[in-house]
Amino acid sequence: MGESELIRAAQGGDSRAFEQLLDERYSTIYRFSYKWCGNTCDAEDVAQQACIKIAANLKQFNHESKFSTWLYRLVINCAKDWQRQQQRHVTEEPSAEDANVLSSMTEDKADIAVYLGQLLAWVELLGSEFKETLLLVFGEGLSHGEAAKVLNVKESTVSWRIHNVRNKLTEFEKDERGHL
Amino acid sequence: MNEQDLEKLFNQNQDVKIDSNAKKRAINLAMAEFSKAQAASPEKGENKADDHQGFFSALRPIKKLASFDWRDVMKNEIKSKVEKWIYGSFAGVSVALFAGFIVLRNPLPFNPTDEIAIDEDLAGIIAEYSVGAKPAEEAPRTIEVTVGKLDRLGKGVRVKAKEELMASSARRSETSQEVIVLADAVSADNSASSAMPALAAEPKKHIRQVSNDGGSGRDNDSAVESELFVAPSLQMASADVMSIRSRTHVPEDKTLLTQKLSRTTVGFSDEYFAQAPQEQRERFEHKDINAVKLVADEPVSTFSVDVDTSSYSFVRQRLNQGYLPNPDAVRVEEFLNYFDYDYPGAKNKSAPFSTNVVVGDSPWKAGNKLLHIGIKGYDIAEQPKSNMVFLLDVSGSMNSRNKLPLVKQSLVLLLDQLRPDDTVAIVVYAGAAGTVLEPTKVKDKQKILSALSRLKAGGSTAGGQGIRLAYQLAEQNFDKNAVNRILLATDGDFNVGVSSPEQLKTLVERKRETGIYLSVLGFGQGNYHDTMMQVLAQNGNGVAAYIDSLGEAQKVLVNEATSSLFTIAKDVKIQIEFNPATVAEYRLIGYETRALAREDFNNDKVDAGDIGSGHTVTALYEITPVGAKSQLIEPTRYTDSKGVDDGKASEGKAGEYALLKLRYKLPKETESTLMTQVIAAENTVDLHSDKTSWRAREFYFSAAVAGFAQLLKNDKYMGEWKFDDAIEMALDTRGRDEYGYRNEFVLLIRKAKIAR
Repeated sequence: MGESELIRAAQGGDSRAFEQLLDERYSTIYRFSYKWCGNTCDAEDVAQQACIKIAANLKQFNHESKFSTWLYRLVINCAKDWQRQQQRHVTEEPSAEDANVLSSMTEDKADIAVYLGQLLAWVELLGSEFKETLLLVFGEGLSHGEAAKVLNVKESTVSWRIHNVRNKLTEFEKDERGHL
Repeated sequence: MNEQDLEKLFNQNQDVKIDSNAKKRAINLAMAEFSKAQAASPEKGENKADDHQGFFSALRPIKKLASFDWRDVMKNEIKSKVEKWIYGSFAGVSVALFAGFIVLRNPLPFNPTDEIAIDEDLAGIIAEYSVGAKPAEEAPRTIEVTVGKLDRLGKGVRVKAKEELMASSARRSETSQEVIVLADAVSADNSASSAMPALAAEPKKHIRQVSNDGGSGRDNDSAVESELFVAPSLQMASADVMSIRSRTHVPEDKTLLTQKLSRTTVGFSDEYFAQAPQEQRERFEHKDINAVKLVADEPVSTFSVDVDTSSYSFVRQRLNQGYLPNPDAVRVEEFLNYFDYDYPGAKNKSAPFSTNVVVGDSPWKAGNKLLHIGIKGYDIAEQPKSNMVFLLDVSGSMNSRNKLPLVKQSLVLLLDQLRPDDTVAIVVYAGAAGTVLEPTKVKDKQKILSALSRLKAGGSTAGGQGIRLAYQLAEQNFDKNAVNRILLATDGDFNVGVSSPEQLKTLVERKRETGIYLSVLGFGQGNYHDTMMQVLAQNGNGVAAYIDSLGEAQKVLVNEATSSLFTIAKDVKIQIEFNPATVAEYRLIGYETRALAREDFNNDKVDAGDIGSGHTVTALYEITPVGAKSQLIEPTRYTDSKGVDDGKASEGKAGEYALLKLRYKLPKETESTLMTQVIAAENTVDLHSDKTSWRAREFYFSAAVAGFAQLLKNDKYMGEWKFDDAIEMALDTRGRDEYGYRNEFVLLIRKAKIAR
């Protein structure tokens, strides 16, 4: 059964089809959440939230676009909701758990995670739309056109954002060196 | 960095293991949601947005809500030019109308030397509204006069308003004629304004008069409404909020059938407001001071002890600013108990305090005597374990130098007083209540300090919720052997949630029964809500202190930490029975808010004040011995003032003034213990006695404090006694004064002398 049939079956109420669909797609969802949040704990939360949302809203998928496009949009919304909740906790601090997770990884990888986290935070200074564009294009390897469909903007807007992000990245590197 | 690097980075970070448990959990939850979604719409497999959403869904500008993309709204353009014009003019008219109203509501300052001008368009506007409001038969026509030079800005706006109103007023060709008639009426109007001498004397005047008049102007045959705006130097719209509206009747001339009503709107100048003390927004409960009582009528006096001190520090703050306090803010007993007195202490736990009675001559009334009752609790040797919840108000009103920053500093001071294994939790409340710090051991001090330092003020005040949450935390961490206490720091503004004092009181009382006590620290001024503070602390078995400075925080939370926080006896009640053979009249000084009914003394269910470790409590009675000339109440003509006992009961007790009875409960007990002491009818101190002995020193110092407090309260019993007498008396009796509180008291009296 192809994905499209699976979706139709799930929309028709077939729970096994739905389970299979989720099973196949979970890694995509989770990896994207992980890129967004930067730690396993939060990424699991976001992915779980996204799965629940898919269950509730699958019927609204109308097969006009690609399922992955629809999926990305949904996960991005979940991630943004999560972020908004995080901001509500004023006393947010890197918790001990995160530190454990980081230290349990290899030194090298922990560095990458931290570095990426800083980078994303830096890009986000431009605006949250830049972060999601960057994640889709660089993180997920989508074309500008595909990213534009997910974000529901024009392709030129995506290109413009990527251009800005590139400039920002150069700046980020300079800034890093300046600190070093 | 280029994007290849970035992609590589992402790829390197990619090979994260997916936790299969997490995946399973997510999928299970999703399945549950899925079946729920199926159950919700079993037959409809279609889009939810097709569901009917009300009767007029067909008329909605947006057809399909679910698939609708709000971004499209931005792309929409107004299609036709006609539409643009309609919307545009509609918006323009609304703005102009609004501007017109604003101008009408706010007369702006004008120069009294400018000539009086009649503002026609304003007249037109108001004329229209008045006519529109009444049927034509009853009120033939309303004419509007505006006297006054209107500011240019206002005029500019008004011209706009005029444009649309002109159309309607054009119907009335008489408009201009009316205005002329009314110009005459202005001079006639002097009769109306001179009826209010105060306003007539005011040179700056802006008079707007609406007269319901048959066109003949001056005759004033029907009701005249006049609105006088006296607007001196007020500038802004806020003037309206501040203005005091009063209604006055203006007598009119002979043809009058009804009295004329005139409404006066007076806006005060800024200068006036600078003088008006902020205190007006602070709430104090008014209590009449205790009156002199005749022993024959009412030989027994009962009250509960009070260890609160908030009144003194609040008043001190006012006096330091050069203002006399609101008399209701002064509570004599809190003045008395602010100071630590050097009474001989109690020895042990079972009799937790000593009672010391001193009798001497009243300083302010010859012939009268003062009965000084001093109680001192024993000092606990070892500080008990405590479980504290700080409940902090971080609402916007706390955002000033003497509020939240002071709260933080105070709590840091307190932390140093606690034992390392004590627990502390922090709950804040503003728009919503939240836990900032879960119960944490004091030895983990850094964590507590960083939680404290992160606090910021902002938002409204949901006091009720915060209190619930604090109780929840305290219960969570309840320790039977520890002191479980909530420490509330606030400026007293509970404006959301459980906010009626009654409701809060019930809550606090219920929790007290479970062993969680509540103390209140008041901060700041401006909207200080004294009544609420008192209610909370008195019913929560805690103290209410007012912290106006770091010094005061030091006093309450460091020097007196043990007495503020650790109770050694609760529900301490005092009852005095006077001997009618020796005492004619008595008066309890202060303790108005703490009076108890006679029968409540023996009723253990009735709550009363508590005494902390090492606390001293002082109360003063002013008594008039039998035969003294200073008696205030005349004997009655028809009843025997001696009462019915004709001296039998008091026989052989002629040497006694009174019997002092005291009831208390140990902290864990529910039944009270009684202590009694006979007060002999003789002076134990006099003015010449040695001021270094504790009796004389504490007696006269407390008299000075009580006297000062009563002077601030404009007490009617003080006679010729003045601030200077209080200074002199306090100067002699300062004693060792370790922390300088008594010296400060003397300074305070001096400040009161020059305060206004």
